[in-house]
Amino acid sequence: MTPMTHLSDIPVAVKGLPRKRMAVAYGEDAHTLQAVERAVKEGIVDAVVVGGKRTITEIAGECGVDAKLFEIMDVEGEMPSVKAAVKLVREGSAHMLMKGLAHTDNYMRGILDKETGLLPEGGLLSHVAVFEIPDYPRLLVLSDAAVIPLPTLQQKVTITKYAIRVANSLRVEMPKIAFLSASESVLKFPSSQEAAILTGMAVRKQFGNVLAEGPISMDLALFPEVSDIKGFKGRVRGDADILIVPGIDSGNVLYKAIVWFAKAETAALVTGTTAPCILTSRGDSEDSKFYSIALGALNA
Amino acid sequence: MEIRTFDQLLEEAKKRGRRKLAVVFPEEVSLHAALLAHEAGIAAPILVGMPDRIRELLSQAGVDAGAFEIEEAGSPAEACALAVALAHDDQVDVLLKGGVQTAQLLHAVLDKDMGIRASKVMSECTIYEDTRMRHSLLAVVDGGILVAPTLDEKVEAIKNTVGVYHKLGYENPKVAVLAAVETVTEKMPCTEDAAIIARMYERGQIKGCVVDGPLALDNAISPRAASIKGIGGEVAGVADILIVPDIEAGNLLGKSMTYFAGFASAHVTIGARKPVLVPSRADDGQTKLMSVALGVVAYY
Repeated sequence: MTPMTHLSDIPVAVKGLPRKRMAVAYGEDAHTLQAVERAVKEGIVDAVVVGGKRTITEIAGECGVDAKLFEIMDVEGEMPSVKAAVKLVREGSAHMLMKGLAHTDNYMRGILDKETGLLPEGGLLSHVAVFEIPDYPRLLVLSDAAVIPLPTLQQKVTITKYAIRVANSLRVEMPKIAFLSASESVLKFPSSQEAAILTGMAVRKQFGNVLAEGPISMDLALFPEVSDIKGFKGRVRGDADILIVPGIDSGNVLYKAIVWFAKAETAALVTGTTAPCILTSRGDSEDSKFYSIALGALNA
Repeated sequence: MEIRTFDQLLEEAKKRGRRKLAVVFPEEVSLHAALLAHEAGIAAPILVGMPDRIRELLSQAGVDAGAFEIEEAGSPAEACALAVALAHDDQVDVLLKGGVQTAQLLHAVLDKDMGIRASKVMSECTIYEDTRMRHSLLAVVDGGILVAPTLDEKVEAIKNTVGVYHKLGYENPKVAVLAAVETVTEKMPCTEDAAIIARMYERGQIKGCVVDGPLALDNAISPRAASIKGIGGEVAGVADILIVPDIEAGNLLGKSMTYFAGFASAHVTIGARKPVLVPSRADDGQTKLMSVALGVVAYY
């Protein structure tokens, strides 16, 4: 099994799996319905869109989406729609969740609810992004650039495990992990020392079948020629499959730099939940939304 | 050639001629050590203290009172200051603690103006002669000075000890940073320190040796234990130097080797421009003599 190298490999793989059902939380906007339509048409998922039936049908009509492609569950209001969609996943009648017009805060609140949400005991809500970067010969998994502001070491361990699982789903059997910091030298600030500790865990096989390096700077992790110039001899030399960032500040900047400067295409998931949750934003491209749904189905 | 037995160590010390050994305020224990070293041909004692008392001790020991050079000092504090001043001016080669407090002597050694500090940290290097299993020397650091070493202190102690091993003929001594387990866990901070130190070694921040950690004692010194646990690397099973987490571990490990395994030992304090010997009353004659030999070979 060769590792996937393009985001378009994901829907191809998903088509070979049993069809998954996706619940859409408050799907009362054109962007969401168009993404759902494409995913259903291309055979990635079946969908149930939760929200006001009349509104959904109207919007579908206005933007030329065939509302017969998906089921509509008629629920009035944003929060009730989120809760109903979460409930479908919780009860097993849907395999994954997607955010519609609901505010991210409300969507997350629905997922995080202790009684009715999707976070298992000991689960850690975090975010995994997958990039296809022009000229980078592999898919790149990045975590956590969106959910946990200042992860503790223990949280970084969990984040790393989720990222490994996603990399494995992309058929990367022995992912190469870079625990990023500002320098490859072990220095006296937390991200550097934590990267060293996490690498030590990986060396002792505490993350299973992986190779890891850290602290390591982003250029050494992604560009073999930089490793050559610096004479860096590590287990990861410009061929990282996974980047674990020090915190949300650095992670989010890196995420957006990859998207805007490197013109990367992305797919992203909320992890740590009992089922994949998709958290697209209106700024995401059509393809990005489609690939996120496919990534969710692959991991459902 | 690597020195692997205490006989070889003594032979090497003899090759360096009689080194000037300042006994700081002699009493029975230190005088005994000095006499043994003199007898073995590796030291020329200089007795720093009260001349009458020294002559009395010499005659009790059955030695001609005029046999050794005496430098007059009226109190332990004066003796420390004078002995260190002589060392500072290269008038003596080795300092041997007599009837003074260890802290008092180290205080004089570390004095900013008059002292002879050479490293950031003073550490104790205790070397055991393993005559049963591996037939080699094994260092335990630090069972004597560093009570609860910080990460930095551990690194400095490694550098001090590696310097000694270079003098013992080991080009690239193998350093194991010990913990109770070989895995990295937040529950045991010493495993995190060990992982960080191992990365510092990989980054070239610690040179002239090979470092791995965390390692448990068994997989540090037994190739069989290392292979059962599946721990690779150049250090596991064949460590020359054991870096212990704290003084309790070092003390218990050291005394176990002395009393349960019956290994002979030698110990020297490293970090000054001259070796500092701090004999214990419980040291036998062999330990006292070998400590002088170790001090001489480690520095000359």
